[in-house]
Amino acid sequence: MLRILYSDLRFLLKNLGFKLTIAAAMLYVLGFVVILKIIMYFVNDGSFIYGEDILSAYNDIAFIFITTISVILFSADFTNGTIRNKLISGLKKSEIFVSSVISGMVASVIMTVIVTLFEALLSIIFSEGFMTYNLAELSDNLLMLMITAASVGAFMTMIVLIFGGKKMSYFAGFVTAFFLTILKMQVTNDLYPMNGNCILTGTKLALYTAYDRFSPFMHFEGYPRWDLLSYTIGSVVLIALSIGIGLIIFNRKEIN
Amino acid sequence: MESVFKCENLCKKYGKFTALNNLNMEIPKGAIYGFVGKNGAGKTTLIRILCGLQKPTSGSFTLMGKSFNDKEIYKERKRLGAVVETPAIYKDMTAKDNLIQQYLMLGLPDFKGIDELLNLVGLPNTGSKKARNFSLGMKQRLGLAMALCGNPDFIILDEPTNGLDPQGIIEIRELIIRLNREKNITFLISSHILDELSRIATHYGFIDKGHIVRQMSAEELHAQCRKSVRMTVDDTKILAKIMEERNIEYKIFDERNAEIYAEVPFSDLAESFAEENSTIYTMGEHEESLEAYYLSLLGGENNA
Repeated sequence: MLRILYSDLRFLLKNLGFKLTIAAAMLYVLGFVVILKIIMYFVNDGSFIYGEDILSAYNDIAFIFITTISVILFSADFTNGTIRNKLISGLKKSEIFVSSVISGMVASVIMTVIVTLFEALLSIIFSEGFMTYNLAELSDNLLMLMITAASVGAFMTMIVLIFGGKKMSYFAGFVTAFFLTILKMQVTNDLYPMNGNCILTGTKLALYTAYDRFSPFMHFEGYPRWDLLSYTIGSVVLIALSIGIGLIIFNRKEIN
Repeated sequence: MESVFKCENLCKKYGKFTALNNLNMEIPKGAIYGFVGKNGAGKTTLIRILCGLQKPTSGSFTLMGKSFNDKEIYKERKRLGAVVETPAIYKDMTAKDNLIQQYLMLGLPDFKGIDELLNLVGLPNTGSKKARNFSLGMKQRLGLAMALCGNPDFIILDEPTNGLDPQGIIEIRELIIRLNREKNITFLISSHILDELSRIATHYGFIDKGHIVRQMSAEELHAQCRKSVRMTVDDTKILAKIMEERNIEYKIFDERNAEIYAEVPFSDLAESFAEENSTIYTMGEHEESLEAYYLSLLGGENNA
């Protein structure tokens, strides 16, 4: 297991697509800050850019970048045929699957850490400072993002691997990411409306609250709403489900 | 006869399509097994099953003596090297990095022998060039080097000379022969270039519509291929008359060229032609090619 994991991580660090996706995410954050600055300059109503605003830039579309990385890294295994080498080298399908999921988690965490640190740097340069965060809270936030990125990375890698190499894997990955982003907006708007109070009641309120609290797909926020334990439980459950369900499907899958 | 691979009544179906139909095949240890068949005949399907990429619908096979449903068969696959369809390589890595990846996957303790492998396949000086910038021939060579990692006992090559220049084809051919003779590595080679295959194969398997039509050794094939004498004469009508009289099978190509299927002393023939005031310009022995045999086996050129 360790030999395939080492090989997968080595591939990850040498992959051009991985590096370009991180660069694209950083460029996106930079663009976000520049546009924000321009808007502030023209509006000129005395409001400021706070560090928290910059820190939320990547979080809003992190799904898309994590999906992109999963698709680039693991669909290449099918299109280049390197997954065949793994099987012919005497590796079990379960080893190949688990190693890929772990690599997907590592890739997502590396990207999230790099982009978040870049956001922090931009916050120091371009914002008036943090409104509520202190250094300890910023560290906590980074830890939560890392846990969340790992679980979302595991889920997206599972999606790509079970559709393995077909164009469907690109479609399924991005449709899933898009759907989860819409769901996140819907739940956030219903639970925390911009105007007025939450009007949800009963089962719907309970379901939305549980989803908001435990679903890692809700955790990519500039402002954490729940405690670290809730986030960790949700992420661990998603990782376990991704590996469990993925293993069952992937072990039955035939490779071309 | 010890075999590295043997299958019995192997079937593989994709929905209603039957890719392999009660296929029986045996690859003797130490052989260079030429696997011949037209596109869609089932060659790659069998190779995929052999490599563990897919499972048979029914039937059974053994690989290095281990049954296909033995849970330990994956260990035998470490003794296997393969290039299936296109060479499976990491495009963002150099040739050396690709081999390191393969060494890691095989669990080899160190990276000794990588430079030697690159030399062996003719890729010693690619340096920091990424595999995505390699020509098709270089990719083929790298794929072969990857298949050779870990000193396998059995190597499967699907169209190994695809994209290679004539010099490259000769080099790969010689490499296969050398590895087979010096290291006793068994090869399964699927190829469309039948004349090329006939230069190296020690055994043949002809596959059509998912089942083996014929399996034979190179000696048996040699005996099966009809020998003929190709002649250039001044008038093939006279040749036809002489052959009819002698009850010899013949084939006319045009007004001057023909082929006869018998061993006849030259002096005898020359005498007959002289009696008819006709001339023989050239006469030479000719052996039916593997390609011609393949076509005759599958029922004519329309099948090829």
